[in-house]
Amino acid sequence: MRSLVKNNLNLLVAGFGCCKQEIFATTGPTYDISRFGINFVCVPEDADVLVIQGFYNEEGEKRLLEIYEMMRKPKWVIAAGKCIADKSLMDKNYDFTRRMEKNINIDMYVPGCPPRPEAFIFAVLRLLEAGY
Amino acid sequence: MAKELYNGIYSSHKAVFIDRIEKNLEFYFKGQALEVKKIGQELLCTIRLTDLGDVCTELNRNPEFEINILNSINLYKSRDKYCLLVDLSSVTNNFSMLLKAVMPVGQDSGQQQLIQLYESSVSVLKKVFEAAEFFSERKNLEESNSDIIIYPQQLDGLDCFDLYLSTDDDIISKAFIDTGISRVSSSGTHNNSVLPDVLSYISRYDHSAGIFPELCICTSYEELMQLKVPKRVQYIRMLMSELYRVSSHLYFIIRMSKILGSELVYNLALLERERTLRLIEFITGSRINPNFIRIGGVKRDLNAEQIKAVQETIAILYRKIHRIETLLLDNSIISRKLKNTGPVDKNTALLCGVTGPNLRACGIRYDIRKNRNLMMYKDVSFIIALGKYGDCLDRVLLRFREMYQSIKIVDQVINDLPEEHIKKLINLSDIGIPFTEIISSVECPHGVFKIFMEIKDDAILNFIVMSPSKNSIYLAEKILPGTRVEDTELILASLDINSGEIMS
Repeated sequence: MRSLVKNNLNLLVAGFGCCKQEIFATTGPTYDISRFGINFVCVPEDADVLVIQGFYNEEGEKRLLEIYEMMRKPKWVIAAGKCIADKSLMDKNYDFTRRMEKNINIDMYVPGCPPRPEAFIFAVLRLLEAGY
Repeated sequence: MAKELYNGIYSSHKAVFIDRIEKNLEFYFKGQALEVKKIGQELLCTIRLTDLGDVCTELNRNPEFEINILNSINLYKSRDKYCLLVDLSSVTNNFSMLLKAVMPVGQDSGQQQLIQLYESSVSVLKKVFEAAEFFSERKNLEESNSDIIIYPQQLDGLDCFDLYLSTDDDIISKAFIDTGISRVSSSGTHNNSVLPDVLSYISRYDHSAGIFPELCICTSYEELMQLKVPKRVQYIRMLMSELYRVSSHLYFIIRMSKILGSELVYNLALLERERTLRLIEFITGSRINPNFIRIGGVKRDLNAEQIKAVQETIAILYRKIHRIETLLLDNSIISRKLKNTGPVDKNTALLCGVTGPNLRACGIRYDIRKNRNLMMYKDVSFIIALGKYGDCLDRVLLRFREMYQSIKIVDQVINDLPEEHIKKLINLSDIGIPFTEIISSVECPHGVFKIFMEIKDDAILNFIVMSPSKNSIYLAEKILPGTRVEDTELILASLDINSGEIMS
């Protein structure tokens, strides 16, 4: 993967939730995710990695799939937080992973509610080192 | 005498004041009010649905009540009956009350009839309080009529709604905000769950300041049980609330500086937010969702090391926040851009039912920390910051001033922290609480956060969150027409809309 992306990895964060607060903190000078060559982008076509976090309903799922399809290959997916890895906190009957397993292939799960900024950076670096 | 006052949750003069309003309610609505109940510092008035219009008009016009804010309307099912719950507040008389009306709908009647009845009662409310419109089913601007559609953006905090704009050249003529994407919490999520379960994940309702929903739940139980909370506990709660307020306001500054393109302020504010969050983590063990408040106490006591850390941090925080303010607002380009952008006058703010810093920026003095004597705020000296014009500059300035006041409170709290034993073990299942309704409200960084619950023993039968961000969204819709398209993001960010609060 490092050979493909070389010095730059673009991340797109979808959804809303408390995990976004911690992902947001990684952009600051304390954690400074950009020193690993990682940027946050808004346009799906520019993104290499899709970060799924937070709460979703049916409309949100539809939007997420649109974003995923718009992303250019090769593409990777990181799922951050408990609501994605397990059942949603706000709706106990909602299981994101089971609903989306046919459509989206998740490469990395980051546990925690919300995961710490260090955990998120570690997950991205593991993805880089894995050399998919 | 002083010791007795300290032991109580709220001061005696406020209880007398609420009693007077309760008596007035019973007097004016003799035939209409079925039941008037005082729950803590809130009032719950049960009426018939047919009397809703008359009661609201009287509450609005009578100078004894002078209710001028409608905060929210909710529909819920209580013991096989559908009820309408209207949250009202009075800025001039400093009190808030809930109106409850039982819907005359049977078990067998369909969902269609219920919706029709709800819509008709909202239209009755709309004649008195304009903000009721937001809680009805509104017509979206059709995609053909709206020139610009803004979908949730990434990492700027405006991630929980779609914005439809109809423009005339570069001036917005109509705006519509659709919050459909953020409705993730089903209505019965917390129903029939026990308190420890709810308490552990209630902080997700406020992403930037997680302690306030917890505080709201615990104070409501304490008021119900008339529990005497130790002074040290109240002080620790105040300390945590103010630290979270600073953190939330810094998050607001970060978002604003990102939109304004001030890279230096963005980085400095993130650094200070991290400092605050680390201090919070040192005390509670968690950064975003603390799970720290318990009924009658807190999870952990402060030790000498933590007190020292607080003292050291707030001295640095004050200096650094002052520096951030200078860097942001002494820049003439930024202050000129903020000045006169998205001004809100007093009447519009009251019509939309906003509370908190957005209301205070318009020059209205309404802060339930001081007005209602929450926790031990009467012990500390602080000023309620007020704005004048209600534009973006006022909203930013007000948040800076609130941060200084919060730091001042933290300083006083940490210096006067009493030595006391704080452990109090309360098992709700032993007490055997009969079926009751409880209400509680706190002043969170976005406004007045209120929770209504129906409980029995340790189970929560109904759970309704009444959050201030919904009113801020309605205010945004009102003030966006007439402004330029390029200012849209700035105005929306300056209203500090929290995605967690509009989930339900």
